[in-house]
Order: sequence, then structure tokens, then C-alpha cells
Amino acid sequence: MRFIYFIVFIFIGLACSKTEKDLPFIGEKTADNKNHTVGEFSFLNQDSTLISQTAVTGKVYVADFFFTSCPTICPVMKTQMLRVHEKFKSNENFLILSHSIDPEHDSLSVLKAYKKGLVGNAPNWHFLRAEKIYTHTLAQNRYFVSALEDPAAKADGGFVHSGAFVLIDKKGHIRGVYDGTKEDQVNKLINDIPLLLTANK
Amino acid sequence: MQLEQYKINGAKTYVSKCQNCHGENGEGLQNLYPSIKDGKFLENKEKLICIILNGSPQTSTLKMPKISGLYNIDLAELSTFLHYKFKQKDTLITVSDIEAIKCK
Repeated sequence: MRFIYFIVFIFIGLACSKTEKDLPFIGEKTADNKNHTVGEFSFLNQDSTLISQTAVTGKVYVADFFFTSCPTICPVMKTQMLRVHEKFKSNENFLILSHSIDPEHDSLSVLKAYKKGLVGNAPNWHFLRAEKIYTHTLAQNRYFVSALEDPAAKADGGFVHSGAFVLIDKKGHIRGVYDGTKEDQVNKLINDIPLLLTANK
Repeated sequence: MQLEQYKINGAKTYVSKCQNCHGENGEGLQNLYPSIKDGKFLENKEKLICIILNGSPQTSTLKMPKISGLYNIDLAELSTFLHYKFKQKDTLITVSDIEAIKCK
């Protein structure tokens, strides 16, 4: 009888332990049957350093889209992103890219002050800025996250955007999309990140 | 009766307009959004209302944005609630109190 329990426990253990292979590849495959990748990009971070796809090659990262004067979901997202950062800040193969969708207001100096106030010195968390249309297009077409200007949302800062946290693996594939305003979704993200960190390049 | 109603409606306004940044219990967020727990900001009612309506004065790179969509009644209820929440005081702030405030 004990032996049967033992077998059952092993079975449950195997069924529950999630591996990197259990995470989906998000996005349509290319014509030659390859998985969607985020591809090339180019931004300046809060310290005027160029951040392009070479900065993330071989690393796992989480991307989100926000703006500093956003009174609605952004503070909630940033509270949750702080949890992600706290957990993985010492891992050199992990990055967070927070893209501003309002570059007119969010100059590099505003982003620098925002980062300083939020998290202080955090080498693996970049606050990124580029032309508005560039960032919005990248969000929609390559990360599949909505980000657009909407005069009707003036009371909420003038932009409409998703609160998604997008998880990208070492090869640039999107492996998960989580609601960055929900604690349980972010718990899931925190559990999934190590699966990608330990996966082979 | 009016006081209780103001507190309840003011709490709703706090949730929709203030809580995201300043937190459920006024704790703020790191050094980004100030904590308002100690209720010090209630000492100057005019300053409080004018910051809500016009945003904080641009003294640093980051400022609080102006909060739109609030009528005088919302501001009266909100201020009443803030006194209750952060000063533990029942102070009724009326619409005419708000009307009397002239922001620059």
C-alpha cells in the first residue's frame, strides 16, 4: 500500500513540475515556420545609453509599457514590477525594459528621476524612450500589447495602454503575457522566469 | 447624516482618483509618490485643493498631475474623507468651503 502512495506522489510531482517546454510560443509563426521573435529595436535609456536587441540577447527579460504621469494602472503595475525586480535583481541574465509611451512628457531626465524615486540604483531595469509612433508600433506589432494615444482618455493622461507584462526568452521569443495589475498573475510570472533562466541558450 | 454620506462618497473618490498612487492607506510608493499617512497635508486646506485641481507646483522633475473630472461636491466629500482617514477627525467640509477657495 505504501508503495502505491509513493508511486502516486511521484506521479503528482512530475505532473506539477512545470518546465520551460510548458511555456507557449506567442505570436504567429513566420512563413518559414519559425516562432515569432521581437526582433531589432533601439531605444535610449534614462542614462542616455543605447539599448538595442544586443543588450537582451542571451537574457530573459520582462517588457512593459507605461508613462510617468499616468494616474490609473501604472502605479499598480510598478508596484508589481518592483516585486519582480526584487526577486531577480541580482541575476545578470535578467532584465526589465519599461517603455514610455509618452516621450513628449517623459524626457530622459524625467525617466531618470522616475527611476530614482521608484527603485534607486537598479542596473538591470531600464526605462526606455523613443519616438512615440516607434514605441506604439513596437508595442502593438512585436509585443502584441496595445498602446495608443486617445484624446477621449484625457482624464486618464491621454493614452490607452494595456497593463501587460511580457516575458521574453533568451532567443527573443515571447513566452508569456501576464496582467501586471494583478498580484496572482505576477506570481505566475515570478514562477515562470526561472524556467527560462535555466533553459539552455 | 450628511457627514457619513460625505465620508462614504469621499472614500469612493479616494479609490478612483488617489489610491493608485498614494496607496490604500496613504503609504505612497517608494520615493516616487509621497506618503500622505500623517495627514500633514490637511493643515492647509487651500493648498490641498489647489494641488488636486492644478497639480503640484513644478519644483522637481516629477510633479503630481492635475486631477480632472472632480466637481466641488466631490472635493468636499473627498476632503471630509481625508480628515476622517488620516486625522481620525470628523470634520465636515462643505461645498461652500470649497467654493471659497481661489487657486492661482
